Amino acid sequence: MGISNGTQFDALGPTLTVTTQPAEPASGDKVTATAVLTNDCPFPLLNAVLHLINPRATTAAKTIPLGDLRPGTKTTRRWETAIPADMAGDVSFTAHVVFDVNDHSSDCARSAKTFTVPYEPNGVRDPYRTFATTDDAKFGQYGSQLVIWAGGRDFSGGTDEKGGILLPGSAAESSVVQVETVSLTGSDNPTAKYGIAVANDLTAPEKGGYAVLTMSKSYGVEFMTDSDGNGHLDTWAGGGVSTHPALLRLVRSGTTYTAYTSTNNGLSWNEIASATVPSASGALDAGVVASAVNLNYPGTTVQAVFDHFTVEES
Amino acid sequence: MAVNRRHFMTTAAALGGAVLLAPPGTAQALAAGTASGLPGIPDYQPTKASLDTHPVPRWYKDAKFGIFVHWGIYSVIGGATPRSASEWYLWYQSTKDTAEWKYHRDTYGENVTYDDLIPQFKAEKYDPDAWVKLFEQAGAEYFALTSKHHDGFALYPSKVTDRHSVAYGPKRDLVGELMTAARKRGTVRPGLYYSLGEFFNPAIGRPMRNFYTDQEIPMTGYKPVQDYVGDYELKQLYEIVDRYDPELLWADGQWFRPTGNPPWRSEEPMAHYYNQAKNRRNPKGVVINDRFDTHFDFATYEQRTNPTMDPQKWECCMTIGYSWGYNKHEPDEDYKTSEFLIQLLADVVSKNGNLLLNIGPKPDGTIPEIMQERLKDIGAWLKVNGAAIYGSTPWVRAEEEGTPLGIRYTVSPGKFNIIVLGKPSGTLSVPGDIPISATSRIRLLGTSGSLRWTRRDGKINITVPSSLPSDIANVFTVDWAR
Repeated sequence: MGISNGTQFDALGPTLTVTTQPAEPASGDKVTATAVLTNDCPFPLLNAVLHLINPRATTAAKTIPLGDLRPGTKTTRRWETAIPADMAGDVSFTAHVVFDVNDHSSDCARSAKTFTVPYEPNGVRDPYRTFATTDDAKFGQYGSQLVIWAGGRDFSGGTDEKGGILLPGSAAESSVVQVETVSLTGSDNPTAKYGIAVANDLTAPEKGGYAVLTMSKSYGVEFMTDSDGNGHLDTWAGGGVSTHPALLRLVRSGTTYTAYTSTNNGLSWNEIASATVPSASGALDAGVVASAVNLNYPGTTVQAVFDHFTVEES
Repeated sequence: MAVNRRHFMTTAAALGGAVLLAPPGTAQALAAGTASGLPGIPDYQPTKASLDTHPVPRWYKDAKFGIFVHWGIYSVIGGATPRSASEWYLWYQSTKDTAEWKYHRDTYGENVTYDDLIPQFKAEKYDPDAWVKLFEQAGAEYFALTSKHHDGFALYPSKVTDRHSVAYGPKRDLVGELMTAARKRGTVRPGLYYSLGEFFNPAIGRPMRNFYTDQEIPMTGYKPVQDYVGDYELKQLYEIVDRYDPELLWADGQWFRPTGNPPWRSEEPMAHYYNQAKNRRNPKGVVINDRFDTHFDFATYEQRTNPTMDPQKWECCMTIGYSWGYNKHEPDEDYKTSEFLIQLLADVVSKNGNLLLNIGPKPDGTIPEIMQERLKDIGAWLKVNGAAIYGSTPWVRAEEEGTPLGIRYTVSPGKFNIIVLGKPSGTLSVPGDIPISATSRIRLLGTSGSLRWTRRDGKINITVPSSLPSDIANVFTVDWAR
């Protein structure tokens, strides 16, 4: 049987490493990445296949069958790519090798060289629009990622100060608004928040239909709605602890909004609450918002990164 | 196709089957006297650097699915509310006006303590053979039983305290009986959970109290010790390693630190655990979780999953309902569905994790029917689809985004597995970069014959049969000649 008894196939390795040249590349740089696979296991790696993966890609740039690799074998493979100008945040060059241990078991090793390309406020492109109720908001768009820099004293029913990026008239009578809240940085304030907002007109919440679903820095999700159409958020549900990244989902069915969150990449969804917003009318603006909630943290701003923002009819 | 489950020989069986439950010290005797050990591998030293050279055993990487068992005095009470963690009852009860504090007062009265309920923990219907058979039916490859939870009540006869199930309550070695049953059948690897800290213990600086009068009261079975860690906790760790020789050690409760916050000093028993496993005639792989506050073999994700593929081996531990221990108030609708649990298993495995699914037996030792049903449902699915789970490894990406049904990928020897969460119909389309050649055959596990497929517009389009083996998850497996 081989695998069941003893420790014949228990091993730390193989060892897989990735390096890049230049070591700390910037946006637009041409990069040579090098993967080195060393079989330091006491057994051969059977039918090994090496995958070399570019930053943010899910498909391998190169797939290289390596055959059987005896103990002690060292294999080096290189690949080249340029870092796109619209890529920022954590950028990784990844190598992934799959192999068989015997007739019963496969295994893999994975390694990445990761470096950080700073986000800059490069604005957003059509069809996105920006809006703000705080003076210091800035905006960026990197591929599928949206970025908001914002201050704002509070983001609740009393004081509503935030920066936002919206898709005008995008949320139909029956629709699903969803986003991945990737990271919220720049402030230690546990109540800073970022998430989804919808309204008849997000630049003028007093026109009705207003609701937000946010993830706070540390205190979990918040689902707030404007039940009487005066532009002020007056219902609240949520709490718990925060997870970054997470998925937020706001489902609209006419004037009924239901908020969900998922911390396992959409495998399951937790319903936060359902609320009626009678003033919701027609196709709503839908967007992403962020606020530093800095009343007690004067002068601080946050950098909120979102990914995979979608608005779909349901 | 049914999966050939990996039956394994235990050390005891290898020695002739005469010793199924070794007396204390057997492992050391084997190591010192007769074992050949693993050539070229020096003994592990009680330092993190040395322990970090320990590999995750192959069996644990291959196993993918285990059963967690929370059982103890708390099973008698069965929780205070439908969504409360019954195994934390004692701790919650210690705070005035909590649901547990009120429930206890109203149900048992202010003069009845938690320990007064120990006699009701009888385990009179405990059938460890039936438990192991159930784990086997579930398709589980290992289990972890609470040898001692945070309330300090051990399910085995400890020498450093009389607070255990042989002296009080069931009057049986509940741990030993299950380990013996597992080794007799040789199909499910036995593991033990152990709580380093305890809610209350005079030696930890928190004596037991009557939570209504605030009077200090004796802790049943307590034997005074000076040093909670050295005289009690570490000795118990050695006891369970040397007496029961578990394949897995699952630590917990490390946050209930003794007064003064000394380190747990776990490196020494960990090195001993690794060395006694390798220094024997038939060495075996053993595995340790990440709650000893030092070295670990696998990371734990409690009641959640790792959303991304992680090269570090990890384990999702999750309850079927809300509580880890038996909660008699839990309604059936609060139990996770078989659909969720099977899809969760596929998701976890696609990202290099194992799933440790928890059950909470009743105080009489029976396992609630709904938990048995869930386990059997998972087992039925694994019987058909286990070839894509056991012994598999993550592919270059774990899942497919933007598909109507969720898709998870795994790789097994000579196969690439497409696990569709749900019931596809018509044509299943997956991206064209999956490993497939013009001569590859695609089969649907649980059916015979090959499926028609085409490559068009960068997609692999698979014709889905009208009748599918599962409503929950179906596995399309591709011959992968590498």
